[in-house]
Amino acid sequence: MHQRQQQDFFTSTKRRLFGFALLALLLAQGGMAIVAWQLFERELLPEMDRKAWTVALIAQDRVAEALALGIPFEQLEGVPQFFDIMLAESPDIAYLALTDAQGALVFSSSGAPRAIEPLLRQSATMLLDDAAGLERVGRHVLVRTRSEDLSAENADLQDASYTDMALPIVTRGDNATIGALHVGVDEAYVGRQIKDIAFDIGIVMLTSLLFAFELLLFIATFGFLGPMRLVERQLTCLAKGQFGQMISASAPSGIREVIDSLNSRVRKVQDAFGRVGARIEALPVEARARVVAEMAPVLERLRLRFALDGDGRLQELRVTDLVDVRLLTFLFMFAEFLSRPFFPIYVKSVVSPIPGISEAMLMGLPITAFMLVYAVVTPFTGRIIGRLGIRRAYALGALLSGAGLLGTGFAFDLYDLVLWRILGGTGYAVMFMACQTYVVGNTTPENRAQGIAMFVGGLMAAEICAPAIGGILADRIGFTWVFVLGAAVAVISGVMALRQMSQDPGPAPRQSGSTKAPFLVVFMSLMRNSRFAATVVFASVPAKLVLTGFLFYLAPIYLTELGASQSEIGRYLMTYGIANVLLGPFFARAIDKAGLHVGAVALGGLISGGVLVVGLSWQSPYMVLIAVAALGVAQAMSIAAQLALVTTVAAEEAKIHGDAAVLGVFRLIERIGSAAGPFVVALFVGQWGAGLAMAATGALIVVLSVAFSIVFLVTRRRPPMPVAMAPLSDKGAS
Amino acid sequence: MSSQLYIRIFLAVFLVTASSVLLAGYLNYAKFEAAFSSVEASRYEFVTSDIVTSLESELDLGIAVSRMDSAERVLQQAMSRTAGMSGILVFDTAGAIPFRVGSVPLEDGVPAAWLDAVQASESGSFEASLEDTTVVGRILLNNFGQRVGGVAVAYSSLERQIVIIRMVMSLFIGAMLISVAVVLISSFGLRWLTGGVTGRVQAISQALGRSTSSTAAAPPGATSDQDGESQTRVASADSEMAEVLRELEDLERALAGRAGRG
Repeated sequence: MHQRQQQDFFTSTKRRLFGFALLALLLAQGGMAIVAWQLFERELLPEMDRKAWTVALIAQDRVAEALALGIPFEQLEGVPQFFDIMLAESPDIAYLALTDAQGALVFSSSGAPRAIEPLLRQSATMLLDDAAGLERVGRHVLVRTRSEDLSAENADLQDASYTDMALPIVTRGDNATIGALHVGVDEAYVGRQIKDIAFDIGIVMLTSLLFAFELLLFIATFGFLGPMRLVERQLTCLAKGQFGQMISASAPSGIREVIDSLNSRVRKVQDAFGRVGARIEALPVEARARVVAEMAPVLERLRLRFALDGDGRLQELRVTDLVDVRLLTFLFMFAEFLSRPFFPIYVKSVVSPIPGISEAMLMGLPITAFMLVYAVVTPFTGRIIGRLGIRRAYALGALLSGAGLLGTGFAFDLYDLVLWRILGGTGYAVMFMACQTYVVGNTTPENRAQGIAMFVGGLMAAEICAPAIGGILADRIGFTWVFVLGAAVAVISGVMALRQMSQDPGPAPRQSGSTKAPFLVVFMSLMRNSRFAATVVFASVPAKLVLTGFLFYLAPIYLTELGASQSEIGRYLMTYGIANVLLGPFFARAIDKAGLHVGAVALGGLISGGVLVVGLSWQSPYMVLIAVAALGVAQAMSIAAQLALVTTVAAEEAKIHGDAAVLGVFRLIERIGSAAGPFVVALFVGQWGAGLAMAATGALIVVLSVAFSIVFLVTRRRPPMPVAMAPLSDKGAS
Repeated sequence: MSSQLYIRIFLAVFLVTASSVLLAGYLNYAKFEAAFSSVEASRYEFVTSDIVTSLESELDLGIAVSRMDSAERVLQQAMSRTAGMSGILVFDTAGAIPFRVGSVPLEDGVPAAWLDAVQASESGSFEASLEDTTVVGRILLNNFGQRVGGVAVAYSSLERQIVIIRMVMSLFIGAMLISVAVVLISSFGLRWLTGGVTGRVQAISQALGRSTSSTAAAPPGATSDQDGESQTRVASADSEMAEVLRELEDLERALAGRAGRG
């Protein structure tokens, strides 16, 4: 099979997995919606009916009292207003109405639809004629008519779903029925309740789909796709006469037998080669030297031609797909991102006022602590990973992160909350770098971009669904339990890492050109490069600042202030991830192709800042939603371009100090921007309030983006170098 | 493909599906509880408002709360025509209860929270929970706009709890049945999902088998393309193997001859 065909085969299997998961979940959620609808109708309609009956009796009494005073039926004053007051807080009742003895409408509540008149006439006629179908409750008589029974004759009623409950209006003296009082039970109320949670169900569905896909991809890869890939590879090697490798992977029956059969061929050839060696060894010393000299050319030819090895040191073919790291990245990011829509609000509920420090600043402090620790610990994670190995380092990170989340959920004041976030930030940094190291160690420079794409895929899947589901859960089970859930997911990911991650791949190859210069020397050398300095100070730091300051800190606060629920905040925040996922690859390709990295960075900054400034004119949750989505678009445009730009503008420095050292400085400064974000924005909030702080943050970003553009315009004498998007993206990790 | 793998996939599908529908079930339950409680409470609020309207028409005549003639009748009438209601009481601002019908489980007189609500409630209404009873109340105003007391209507929470427990059980059973049904339906999907791999495995397996036995039939799951392509590659592999083995056996024989000659 050609390589292309193999690739198509594995890609189509992955697509099938996604389709399979989607179909299973659509079936499940569709089934659940039907069940829920029926249960709602079964349980809610009788209670609505009881309420309508109570309303009918009260209204009937009031009308009867007025009639008892001798006021003629048609001249009753203020009936519609009385009906409106009664229905003010009753969305389950569509209308209240009075009809005369002929069934003609006399009074109705203001929201009563005109289409109900035939329905009222039908009920009134039945009631006044004392027709069959009347119900008697105690001394009361009533009739119920359903709009759907009349919809065949009245087109206007086709979309209606009312049950008209009618009671007679009787004069006290002669007991004559002079009209009817109608209460319209709005059965669509049941449907509206279910539609109310449609968004939330949609989020549950999306999250489940992403979970199902990640899990099935993982099982399929290690269950049959990975072993199958090895079978194909082994067969191709054997067909070319290469017998120097054995498949070493567990596989289901069927594939197992094929693997055994292929391995037995390799063993047979290697054994035969071994026997020849043994024969030579068994010869007397003199004869052996002669034979070796005689046969050496033949043996060497065979060894090279068929990849033979007399010592039995065969290459082991293992399943080294990066799906495991994708799932692990998804899980630990999911654990951390769950609290994103409410974290500042949660901090507010935990901390007590501290004299001299504004509440806004206190709310931002734990986020700053987390980001700062992440920035500071990251450079040391290499040592931890080197000492423990990737698997155990990841598990340690997961444990720290889990403990941090658990402690955060049960924090009792600012100080312990900050400590828990420091612990969580440490775990996050270790896990993040363990995953990146795993990717680097399991890929070659040729397929590293694919490996990184796997890693980023898991990250972005979490970015999309975790805030949304976190918001929904926070609304229902409270903040603390969402942290507990996050901690559980982090710990599960640690256990999975210990069980599933393959043996440590060994250290990543060192890059050429690295001189191991002290950090400060590299830093000073880079900061003397005005284009590098402009990129990090005026573009990268602001990008991270707006991400943590606006998305993580200000947006939840401001949306809460504007009356949005946690579920809504989560939904709004997920648009950042969606924009990134949908547009990131497109922008990366287009910007690379056009070579417009400087423009993309500048435009990204201007868009993310500009839209926050515009927010000043419209103080609405929808404006924040637009700002979040625009930030997603802007960062999809500028983040990868920034990385490419850095490697270009610092090409000279990279030749001297190595790419890793240059990227290390870039990352550290960038992460300090992440830590500064909540702090800077909290200063604005403390000074001007959330709405103005949003605009002020935007203005700051715009000014810095303009400064970035000016520096690049002034220094444009340097010819643009061809750039390619550097592979190691920190996207979303802030 | 092994049953262990199928079990793993089924378990994964069941786990995710069950979590998904249980979470959806939980959202439905939370919505139902809110909707049901709201409809139920608003039914009693109608009754409470009606009682208050009746009583206030008497208070407008300047009569003190404790001396309203019609209060007993109004309360009895409301009680008799409202299903589920367990009791009604009228209290004044000092906490005295001049009128009461049915049962309202108050151990130490009118709770302070109700009296506070009468003094301070902006909406004019209050709510409370007492043991298995829920209370909705409204304040009484005289025609000078003074707050002179309140009406509290009590109804059993048990009925609501029974309905909600029934709902929870139904949703849970529904969710589990759906999850099991989806897993069963998935078994057909699983065949489709692994069909390509199974076909390829069978093709290679048969080709490997044929290399030692030329009578084997074409595999049922494999296409003729797969079959042919696998046969070609296996044939190449075996041809290479035969070549190397032949050469090695020649060498071995030559070495054996030398060893024999000493």
